Amino acid sequence: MSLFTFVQIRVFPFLQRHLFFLQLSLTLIGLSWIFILPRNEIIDRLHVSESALLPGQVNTYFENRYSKTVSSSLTAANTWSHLDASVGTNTMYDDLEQIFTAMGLPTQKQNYSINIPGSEFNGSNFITTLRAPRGDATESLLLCVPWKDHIGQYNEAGVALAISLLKYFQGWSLWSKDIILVIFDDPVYGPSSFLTSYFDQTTPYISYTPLKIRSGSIQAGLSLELVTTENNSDVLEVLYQATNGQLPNLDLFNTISRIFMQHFNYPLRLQGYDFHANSGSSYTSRLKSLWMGMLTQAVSNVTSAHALFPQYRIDMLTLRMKVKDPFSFDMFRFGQAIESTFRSLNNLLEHLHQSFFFYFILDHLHFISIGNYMPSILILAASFMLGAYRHWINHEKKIDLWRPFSFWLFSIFCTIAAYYLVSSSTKITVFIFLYLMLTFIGIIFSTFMTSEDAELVLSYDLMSKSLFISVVSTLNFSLSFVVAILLVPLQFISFRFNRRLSLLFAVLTYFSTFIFLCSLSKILNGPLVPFWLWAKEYELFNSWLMPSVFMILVLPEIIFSVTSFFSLWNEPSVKTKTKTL
Amino acid sequence: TIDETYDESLFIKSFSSRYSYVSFAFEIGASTDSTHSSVFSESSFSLFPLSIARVMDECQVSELHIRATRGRWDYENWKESPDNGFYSGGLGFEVWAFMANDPSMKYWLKLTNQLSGLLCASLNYIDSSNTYQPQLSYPGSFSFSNNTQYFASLPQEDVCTENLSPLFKLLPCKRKAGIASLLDSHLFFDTDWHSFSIDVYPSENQSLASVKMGIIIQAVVDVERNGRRKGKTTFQPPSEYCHDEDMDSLHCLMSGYSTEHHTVDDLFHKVPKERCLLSSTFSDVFVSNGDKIDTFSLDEAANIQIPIQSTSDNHTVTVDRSLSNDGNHWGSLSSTIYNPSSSPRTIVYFEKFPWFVRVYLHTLTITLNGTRINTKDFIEKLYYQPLRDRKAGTMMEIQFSIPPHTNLIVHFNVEKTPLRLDEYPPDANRGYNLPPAIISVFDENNTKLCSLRTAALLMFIPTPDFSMPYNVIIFTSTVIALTFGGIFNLLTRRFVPQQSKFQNRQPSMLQRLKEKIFHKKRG
Repeated sequence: MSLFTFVQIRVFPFLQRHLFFLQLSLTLIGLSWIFILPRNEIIDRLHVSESALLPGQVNTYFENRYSKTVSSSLTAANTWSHLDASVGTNTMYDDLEQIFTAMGLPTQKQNYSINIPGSEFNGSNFITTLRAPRGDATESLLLCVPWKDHIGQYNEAGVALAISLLKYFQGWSLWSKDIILVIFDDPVYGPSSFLTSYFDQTTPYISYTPLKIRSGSIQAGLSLELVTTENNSDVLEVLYQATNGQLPNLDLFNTISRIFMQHFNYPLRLQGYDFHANSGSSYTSRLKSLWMGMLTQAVSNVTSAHALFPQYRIDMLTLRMKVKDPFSFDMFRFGQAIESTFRSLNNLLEHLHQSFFFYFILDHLHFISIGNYMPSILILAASFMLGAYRHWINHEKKIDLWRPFSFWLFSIFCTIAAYYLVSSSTKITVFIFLYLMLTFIGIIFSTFMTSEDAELVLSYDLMSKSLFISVVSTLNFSLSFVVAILLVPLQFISFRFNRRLSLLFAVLTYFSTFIFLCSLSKILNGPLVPFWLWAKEYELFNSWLMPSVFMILVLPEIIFSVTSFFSLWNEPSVKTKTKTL
Repeated sequence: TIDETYDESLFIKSFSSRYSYVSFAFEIGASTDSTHSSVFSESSFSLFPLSIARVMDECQVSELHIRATRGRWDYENWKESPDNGFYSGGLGFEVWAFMANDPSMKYWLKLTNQLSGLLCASLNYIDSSNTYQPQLSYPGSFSFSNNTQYFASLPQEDVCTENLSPLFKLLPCKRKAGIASLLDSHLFFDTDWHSFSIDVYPSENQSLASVKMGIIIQAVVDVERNGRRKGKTTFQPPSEYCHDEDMDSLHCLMSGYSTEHHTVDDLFHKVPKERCLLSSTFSDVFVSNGDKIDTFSLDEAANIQIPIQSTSDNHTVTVDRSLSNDGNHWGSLSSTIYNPSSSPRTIVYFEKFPWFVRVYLHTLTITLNGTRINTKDFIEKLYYQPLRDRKAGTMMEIQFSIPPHTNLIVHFNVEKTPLRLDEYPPDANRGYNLPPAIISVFDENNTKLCSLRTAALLMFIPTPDFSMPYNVIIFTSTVIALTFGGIFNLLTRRFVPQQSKFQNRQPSMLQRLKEKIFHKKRG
């Protein structure tokens, strides 16, 4: 007996008889894979791949000799923050125009208005460019300073530092790229309109003044948020996750962490956890950091300026620090760090492409690349496919396959239509109505379905889940992983074994949508029903991944769980008939 | 016999306390007695560089122009281009020449190769794919009727000291005497904008018996930064400029470097040497002073005070160009031309693209003050050379009249083409430099007013993973090795039935011992 015969006769029947346990094994392996990622043997050490960056290798001269300029900038910023909100921005922009025009820089104040149903916003951006001597206007670096952060706190020290740094930068002839300074009055609407006008995009929701100042390709950028708060903090928070789960090139983070942490001794805050230069990290802290990073990447909330830039292939980070008193803040230490960073980015010959674009940062020294964490989601997707196969092979006789496929397709269509019906409202009653409507559709479908139909519909559903999870994981691993966790009860619904356990799994699947939205609202600190927020972010920021995944992967489970539940509930009559026969 | 003349002049103009414009102009003239022969075929030059004459003669060139520019002219603060932009390029190197018509471009390629050696520039990269023949932009006033014009630009070519040194070799006094002794390469290339040009052209129509060669070296000097370098061997950090006597923060922030006048020592850090005795003029230095120009001799250069003046706003036409990178496949290009004067201007818009940027002429739209107009009626002349893959790029020359006080936008769509792997430049992830467009402005009498160049653009060509061929080879070889090994093993392995194997096996010692004991017990 050859090996192939042995596999065909013995191994495959064994696997077919134990598909449920194989499925369970794959699910457990996929879920527990995350727990081995923070081990010391798995993680990689952060290193700079682009040799041209040379982070921290320059001498910095932003010192006390510029104290009068820094003090005047802080005084001016403090004056602007105390003005009334309606006239403060205009006064600030007029003063900034005088300052930078006296320096010989081109300036522009750009007005924009956001008009989407249910929300209107009128604002303006201030743009100026420090031109590189002998520069050819084909490459540039970007310095973004939102005047307010998403909470509404003023970025006094950030604006003051930007003014002082630009005056200081003008004295050097070593710049190979222009430096664009943009001051937004809103941290998310301002960057959205700036990018829309910079790249000549056309959108019906944003109208803006045409941009006159352009400097070619924006290679990299930084966003400063030195917001004035009640408490003081010497910790630098680095925000790096963008819309749709996109990430900047890892070399930008490497440069920032090396310069700020090792050369200027700032502690870093990543995903809410603080790391110091000389401190190690335990397995527990790395696991927490990884899990928090996955959750925030799955949500991809837009709260800072950096979140909108990676989709235009601009690598951008937000450096955020809480400043109690801008006048006692060490502006020269922070300014030297920014100077060192810009000098490193000035060395770039190409846009950042050497290092990773798919990673998880665990602490200030270690990260995980895509090759280490991607198998977990692929194993989970394989378990979903095995579940679909398990339902498929239970039908030995020939039956109509188009009937359950039509049920499945029509369910998806009803879900998408129902989602669009409710996506323009923020009320909880709309969500309840959506839930009840989909439940009703499921009940209606159950009356037309036989148990074979329900089983095949579940098979198609699991197949589509497997495929969609695999595809979404290449775009946003965290989102697909979170969705796969929520859909785990779905694949263990069985029409052959333990009926009560399957009913329990069906109920769990039914409420997984609600669990999903509750988790989102807790992480976001936002509304329980985020449909309108998703619609707004989709139209303004092209943030399309989260609502699409919710619409296609999570929401249809209301229908499928109801049909499975009622098919399982009606099982005794089938058994009775069997006994009678 | 050959009559030769030599003139040199230095022009200085201060834009502000911080910026000054300097221009070194050298002119060498040569003429021969025989009116029907070319002066380039002579060999007994005293002033005219023999290398240039040889190149012009061997390649049958009647007119030659070279531009090498780095930096971007600041129209806002420095106002009009010097000499209306006739002697400055856009980015990198530009070469155009009038020469005998040659379909195979043999003489043109020979010319660019020899200039490559003469100027230490990579002009040998000029080939048929980046050579164009404009018809409207450069009406050669001295050209022969049977000559053809060739134009090429290399925007990625840098301009640095190795291009300046051979330029001085073309001068009779080189840098030992005259105004050229003021030039220092390190200071020259630490300016905000610099350019040099070489023009060789006949003095009279239809005749090469009398020719002129002009060399112009221009720069915009940052006087404040220049001053920090004087006598220093390291870079000094910038100084702080803050007038806070009245405790006004805005006043402090609006302060900057200010001075009453500039001196030659501020600009060049040295006193000029003696006059070039071969020059025929005595007053070599010209200083712009308001509406008039003061003249000085080189001996008085150390005491010149260059007044700082605010220039008037008298733009003939302003131009701007931007590229919209919609993605990896399609893009669009917009050029904005504004005519602030009160009379119409005839514009020739000269655009050129490499072959992998496909221009679609049917997408050309022209907008006047925000209103889209009929393109066919507006365009007076249109020369369009379509691209040929890997052989020739796209050239477009559009002539139209722009009304007074009008903002005009030319817009069209372009398609990006992937390249073969060996065709990518070494810094493929940076993008590809598109050369600037050239806008020529004519007045009603068809006199050329100025020649403007737009900004260069960086177009991102989609790049593959350059390690992909290596990965494909490695994976394919691994798959072949594993597959071949397994199949070969199966095909050549000899399978023996287990029963036959069992029969041939000798009983082990343990079995024999068992039989012996059992037999003894039974007996």
